[in-house]
Amino acid sequence: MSFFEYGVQQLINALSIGSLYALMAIGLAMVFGILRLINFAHGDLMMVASYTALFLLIDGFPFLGAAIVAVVVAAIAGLAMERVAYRPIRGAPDVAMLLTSFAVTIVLENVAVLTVGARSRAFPAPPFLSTVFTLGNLTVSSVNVVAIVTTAILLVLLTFFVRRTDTGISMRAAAEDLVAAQLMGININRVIAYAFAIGSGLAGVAGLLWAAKVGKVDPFMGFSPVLKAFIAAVIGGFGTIPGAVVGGYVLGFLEIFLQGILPGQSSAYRDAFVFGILILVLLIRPNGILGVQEREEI
Amino acid sequence: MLRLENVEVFYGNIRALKGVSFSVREGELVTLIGSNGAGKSTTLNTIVGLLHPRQGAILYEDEPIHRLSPFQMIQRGISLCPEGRRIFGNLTVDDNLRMGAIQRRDPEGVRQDREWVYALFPVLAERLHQLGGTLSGGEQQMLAIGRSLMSRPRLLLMDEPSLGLAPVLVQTIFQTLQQLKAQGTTILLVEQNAHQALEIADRGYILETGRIILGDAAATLRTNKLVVQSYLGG
Repeated sequence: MSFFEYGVQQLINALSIGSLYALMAIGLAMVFGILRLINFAHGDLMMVASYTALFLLIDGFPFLGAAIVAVVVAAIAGLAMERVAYRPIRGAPDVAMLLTSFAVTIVLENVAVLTVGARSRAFPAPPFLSTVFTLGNLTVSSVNVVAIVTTAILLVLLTFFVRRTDTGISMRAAAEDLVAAQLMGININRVIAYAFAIGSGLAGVAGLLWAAKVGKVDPFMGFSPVLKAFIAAVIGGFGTIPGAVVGGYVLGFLEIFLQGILPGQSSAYRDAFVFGILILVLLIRPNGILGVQEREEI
Repeated sequence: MLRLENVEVFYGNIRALKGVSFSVREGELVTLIGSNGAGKSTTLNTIVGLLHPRQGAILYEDEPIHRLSPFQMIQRGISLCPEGRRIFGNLTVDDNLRMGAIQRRDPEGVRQDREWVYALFPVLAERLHQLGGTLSGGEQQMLAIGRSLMSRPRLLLMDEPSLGLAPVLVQTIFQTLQQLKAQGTTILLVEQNAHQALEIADRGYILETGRIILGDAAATLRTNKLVVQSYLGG
């Protein structure tokens, strides 16, 4: 395999994992932007979507139908989360909101353990998500290609939504100045509901792709991705959607790059290297790559 | 049109408004004058529903409105142009205006009002697609006023529009207010700049540490000894 082919192969891997981090980070950023809430339970929506799809597939549903239902269920779960857990404490100190999100995570994961069991289950991904094909000397798994393309399409749709529609622009306005947004007569509850529904739907898509990629699901599958997505959102510039996307891809590239260059034994410490570099990024740009300094009033 | 009756507002245990009563009649330009911390912004924020009074009542066209939210005020035709402008810096000028009209369902009327705002402030029309945050202070104030006009308010509340602006810009802003009044908008103007506020207002009230201590025709207030001493620097 030539150096160029190796590069292309790693590029695909990096884009694919970066896409998943970006999808997850968007939901975190949308909610944080408006509510200053770091929703750690966001990762559990991946689990909700994957298990929903798993059971539908076992019942013989076609994959696309199951996937759509699963994403919708994840969006509804996100809305329910906001309504039940986060709305009552809106405006509470950040720490109270953060702790509530931990509580939601613990409840959701334990409900999952009690109902579907703690053991991981094989995820019956359809052929178009589980084939490995070769192009010359390249070996490419189809799930990576699907992840990249799906994310690209969703990002285009999301960009249109936040830049061109009333609700999308309201969302950006509310993220910038909640009081001013209220004074305009923007319906804050509605905007927050949209942020949760869209973010959770994207987490659902990420969950399905993740499950197809690793081939299994378990109640705790969302933990590591949500942590990574949080880090992605922070290094990109927390609270903005472009920041979340950039951060997701940067993190994906870093991981794959380090995996490629680190010698055999030390690649087990990949995450330590990744996070070390991220600390450096934050030392240089404390507000993230796309973050801006708070403007001073003149 | 608007009447406050014995309104008391608390921040925690601190009584910020200690029984404020005054009224604004349809078509009037009324100014509320006071120094820093007198409770001027608190009064406006309470009228518009960001704060709620613990005691007293606020009546708008004889309907009590002091339990309603800002969202419902816009529906009733009350719009606040907040202190410090608070435009959306990450949104374009045009999108800022679009947010001001967010509740309206008459696209044709919104389009006309947009044209009207751009005619009122031609400099904004030149910056249509620029981000709000890149405008100068004066332009931002114009955008803030334009944005609060986009809901086509019948009662416009203005919180210190002259704050931090060069004198020539203050002139422009105050002229605009007179123009709006001439076009039938009722205005309640909060100002520290008593001189110019009393110049254009029909009536005025003086607010001091949470109480209205004086209220009269603007012309009378301009010659009132206490007002001259404390607020007009004479």
